[in-house]
Amino acid sequence: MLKKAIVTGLGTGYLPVAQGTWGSAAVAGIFLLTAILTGCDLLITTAVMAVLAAAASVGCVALGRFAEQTFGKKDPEKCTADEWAGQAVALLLAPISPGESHGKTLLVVSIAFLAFRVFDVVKPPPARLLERLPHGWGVLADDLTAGAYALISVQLLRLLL
Amino acid sequence: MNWKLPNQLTVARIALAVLFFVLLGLYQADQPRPGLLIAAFVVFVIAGVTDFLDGYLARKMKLVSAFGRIADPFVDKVLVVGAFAMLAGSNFMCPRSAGTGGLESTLPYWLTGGMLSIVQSWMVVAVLAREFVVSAIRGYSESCGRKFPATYPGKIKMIVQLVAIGTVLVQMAVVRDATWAVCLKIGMIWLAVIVTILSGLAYVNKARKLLVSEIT
Repeated sequence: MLKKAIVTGLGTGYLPVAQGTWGSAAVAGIFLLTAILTGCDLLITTAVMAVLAAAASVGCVALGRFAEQTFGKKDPEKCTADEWAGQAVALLLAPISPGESHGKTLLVVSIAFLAFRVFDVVKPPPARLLERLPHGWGVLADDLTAGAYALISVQLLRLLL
Repeated sequence: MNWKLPNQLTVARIALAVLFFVLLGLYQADQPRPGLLIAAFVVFVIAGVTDFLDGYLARKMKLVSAFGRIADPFVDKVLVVGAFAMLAGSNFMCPRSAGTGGLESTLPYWLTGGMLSIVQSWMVVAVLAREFVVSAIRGYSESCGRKFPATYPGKIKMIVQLVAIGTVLVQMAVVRDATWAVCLKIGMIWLAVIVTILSGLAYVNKARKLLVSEIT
């Protein structure tokens, strides 16, 4: 039960249609909530995202074979722990600052969410090749790469904001 | 060129290095934008991850290639030497206006060179010279059929340099005015330079027999 909860991103993998998007949305929601509750504290939001990214990554790698056996294929749609990890990476050190408006924070989160989804679907090099790594590593690595691309994109927002 | 995964990571690091230098180049100490340094730090860390991954995956997947053996150390040097060169730029000088220079502007000139980044021009020369001499020794040694692999001092030097660069970026972006952070920054940069010089001397000492034998 616990293993299934982890690999399905606390159940987001069971939601209908585009499960990966639901998984990413869950992380974006957690970030938004943390930002609102802490007054957009950069260190706290980054720490929360770092813990999420690490936990989801470990879960993905440790339970990769379990996910394959349970759902019958590599990187099944219901396994959204990889999207959790990638989206959390995209939101590390997000360009938010204390006291700023919720609107700006929402804009940053929305861009991070969209950027990660785009890169997760498009899978620019070397993401597609990293999918070929065995078991949980292959499931995770392409999402972490997409997360890294999204992270850079979000950081470049600092030039505009 | 072998366009396998490790080489893709190496090429990605070249692009990341360019982006890193652009971000550093946009920073102005008299109109500080911490966000630029945070973005540069993020890019720098990702580049560091690709540096570890490309060699590791090349060995693990048995995809070692001539391109990788040439490009990997080359990009590493460009990233580190380039970072030192950018941090020694005039845009990182302590602002001259009264009260805006920070703790760094009150410290002895020989220690900081008047730089918020603490990186002075002579330090860039030292880092460059070390890379030149080691590359020259390695190139000549391998042309004589003698392998000259990376040594522990060299690997320690790389790690210390990377940590020093990261420390400068984080300190200037996040803990700008904390005395302990400024002291840590100064310590890390000076340590990186000293370790760089010592590791260069260690390589020269290791190649002593080779150098002496060719002279006589």
